[in-house]
Amino acid sequence: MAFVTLKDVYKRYHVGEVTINAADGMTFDIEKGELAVIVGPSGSGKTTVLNMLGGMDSCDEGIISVDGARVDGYNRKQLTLYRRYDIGFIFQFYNLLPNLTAKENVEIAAQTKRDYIPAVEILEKVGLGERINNFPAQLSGGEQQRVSIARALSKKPKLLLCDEPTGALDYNTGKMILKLLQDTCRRDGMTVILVTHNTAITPMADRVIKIKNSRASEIILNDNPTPVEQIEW
Amino acid sequence: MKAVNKNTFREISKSKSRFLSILLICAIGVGFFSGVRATCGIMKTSADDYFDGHNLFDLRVLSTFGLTEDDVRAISEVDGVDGVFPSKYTDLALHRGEEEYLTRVFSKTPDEINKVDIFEGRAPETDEECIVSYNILHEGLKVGDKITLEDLTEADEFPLVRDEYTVVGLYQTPMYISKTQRGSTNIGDGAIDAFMIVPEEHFTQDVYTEIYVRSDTLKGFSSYSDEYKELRDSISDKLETLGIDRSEIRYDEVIGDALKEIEDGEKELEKAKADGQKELDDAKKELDDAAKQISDGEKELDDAKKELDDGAAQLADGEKELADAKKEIDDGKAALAETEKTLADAKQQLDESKAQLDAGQAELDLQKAALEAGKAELQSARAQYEQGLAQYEEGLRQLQQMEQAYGSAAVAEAKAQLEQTKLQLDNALAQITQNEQIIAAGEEQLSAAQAEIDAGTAQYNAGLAEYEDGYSQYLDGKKALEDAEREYNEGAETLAQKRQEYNDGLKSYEDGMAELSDARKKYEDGLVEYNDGVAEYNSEIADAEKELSDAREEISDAGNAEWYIFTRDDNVGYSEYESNSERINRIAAIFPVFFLLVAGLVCLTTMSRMVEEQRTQIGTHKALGTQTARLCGII
Repeated sequence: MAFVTLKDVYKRYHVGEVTINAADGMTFDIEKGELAVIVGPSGSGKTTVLNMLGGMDSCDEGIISVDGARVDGYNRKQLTLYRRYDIGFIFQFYNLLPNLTAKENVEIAAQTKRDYIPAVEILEKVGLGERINNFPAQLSGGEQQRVSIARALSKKPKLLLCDEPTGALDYNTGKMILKLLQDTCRRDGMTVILVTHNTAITPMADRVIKIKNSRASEIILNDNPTPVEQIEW
Repeated sequence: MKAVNKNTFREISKSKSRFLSILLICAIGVGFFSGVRATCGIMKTSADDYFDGHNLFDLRVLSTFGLTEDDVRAISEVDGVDGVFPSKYTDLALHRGEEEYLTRVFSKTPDEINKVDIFEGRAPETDEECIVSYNILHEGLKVGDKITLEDLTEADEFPLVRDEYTVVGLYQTPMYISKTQRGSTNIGDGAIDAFMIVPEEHFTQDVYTEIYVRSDTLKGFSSYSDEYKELRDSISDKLETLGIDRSEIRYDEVIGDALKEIEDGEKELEKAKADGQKELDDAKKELDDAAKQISDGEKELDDAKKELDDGAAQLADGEKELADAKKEIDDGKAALAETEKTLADAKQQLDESKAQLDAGQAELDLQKAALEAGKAELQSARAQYEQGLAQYEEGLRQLQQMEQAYGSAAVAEAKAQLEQTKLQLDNALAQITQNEQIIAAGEEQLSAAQAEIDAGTAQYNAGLAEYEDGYSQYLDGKKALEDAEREYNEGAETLAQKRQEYNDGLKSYEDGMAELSDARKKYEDGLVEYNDGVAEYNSEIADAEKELSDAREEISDAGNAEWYIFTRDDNVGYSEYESNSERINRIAAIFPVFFLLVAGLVCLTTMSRMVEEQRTQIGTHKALGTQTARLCGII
């Protein structure tokens, strides 16, 4: 039993008479501690898959299983708890709370569970020790994304889901973020799923899932993932 | 503090005004709603406390025939009744100076029922004092005012023992809590202006007007509640049942007396009718007799009058006759005198004429003689003439002969002489003729004179004869006049006598007339009296009959004795208060709800906007697994 399993997952959107399948029989597995990268062109259903995995969206058909639990059958309350306890989400546009400092932003996620990494510690870990009392408006893009990552990590989730984390960042900052993610995965044994349209970074992943036309067209296992510093694009 | 809460507070402090205004509008909305909603209950509770504290009656019994002590006893035996308090009241007009207030005067009841609050002045201490309560709109009566009471109905007896009071206090009664409504009445303009309390002894009526009933169990319930109404209605039903029996008893009591009185009255009326009719009949008979007498008397008097008139006419005739006679006599006397005078004159005249005649005759004789002489003269003259004439003629013949013979010249002188002689002869003839004529005339005259004298003599003789006649007539006349005078005197005497008789008769008649007019007047008076008597009789009978029929009508109008049970709800102020609080309740059901709705809508709008503004944040939270409920805290 894989850590994360998607089997024949369908997600349909009805727009008038037209039906759009965001996920059209999606099937793939991901093992624990893997750094999985989901690549595909725009509109291929990558974000849909991530949302479904993150418990923010429901599927119409199919099985979604995370650590043995059937996520597709969860009701709202269960989904809320699932999101709170099991998932760490990193968004493309950071989604930090503007009223709260970096520290508080991390705390807000962490205070939801008993077992968490203290905010200051995790912020230091991501290299924002001096910026813990700054508001997101006072931080740069990279710093904000790092806060976001810290937020996700402090929860000690089972699954770390990243939706184009470097989308809004420049090359170097992006690289730095990716490195962080990779290190977390390796060091802490966290299962990281990364969604991107940038095929250049696929070498860093342990598993590459290619999505095409709302289905997993190719799953490639990488025995020797390349460290991020070495990848140029 | 948890970060989530920090987020909330920071969000609030970022938009304080928005937060505060929403807070305020919600506060007002809620406050308004709850306040108005609560008012109804509070109003009712306040009222209930007031009523309980002042022992307001629960039920009030009135009867169309009044209430007695027995009724009081009967009521107090009804199940659930704890306090029974009889009372009297009457509606009068209260006068203070020029002002008039329609007042309901109550008898004083103990504090256990309808306790009053004296808020100005004090309670009365003497019989002349009273306390009043007035409609606040009139505000006329003050402590210290002296007032008089007046009964506006046409009752015979004034309902109180005194009609003058001094106001010593102003009070408030729990029975009428309305400021403007004080109940209605049958007198005046129908709206009561004020109340007054006097001791029960001041009322002249001996039955009670009303009975107040109280129940302790009812006191325990809230006045406007359903339990109160239920229990009160059940007690009221019991009282009604009781009332049916008691009012029958009362009706028999009252009506029985009244009926008996009516029957007595009817008997009296019959008797009075008969008596009266008899009196009237007797009077009528008297009057008729009198009338007959009067008409007889009248007839008599008429006859008498007729007689008198005849007599008067006769007298008048007689007088006229006498007067005429007198006149005649006087005339006769005058005539006689005149006749005497005339006769004397005539005699004188006659004598004079006789003398004249004699003289005349004498003269005439003389003249006759003269005339004869003249005549004789004339005859001789004539003879002369004749002679002369013959001579002439002879001469003429001679002349003529001569003429014939000699011619005219020779004869001319002779002719001229003849002519002259002719002329003389003619003159002499003329003279003779003239004298003849004169003599003839004279003769005529004389004969005329003689005739005259003869005539005169004849006249004289006639006159004398007349005079003789006249004289004898005069003597006759004188005699007749004397007779007439005697007769006249006799006649005058008789007339005087008759006149006296007439006067007596007239006087008698006048007396009779006066008597008759007296009698007539008396009769008229008597007739008027009789008519008055009849009218009086009729009107009195009619009045009495009307009274009796009215009384019977009254009895039937009075209808049945009935009890009327009034509750607090029949009191205007009480039920008005209840409906006011109900109204507020109903307003509270709608009005504040609108307010609240508006507040809600404002909140909704604001919240929607906030949610829109913070979509991303909310999404983030949800992604982090924050409970939706907690998220609402921000909103």
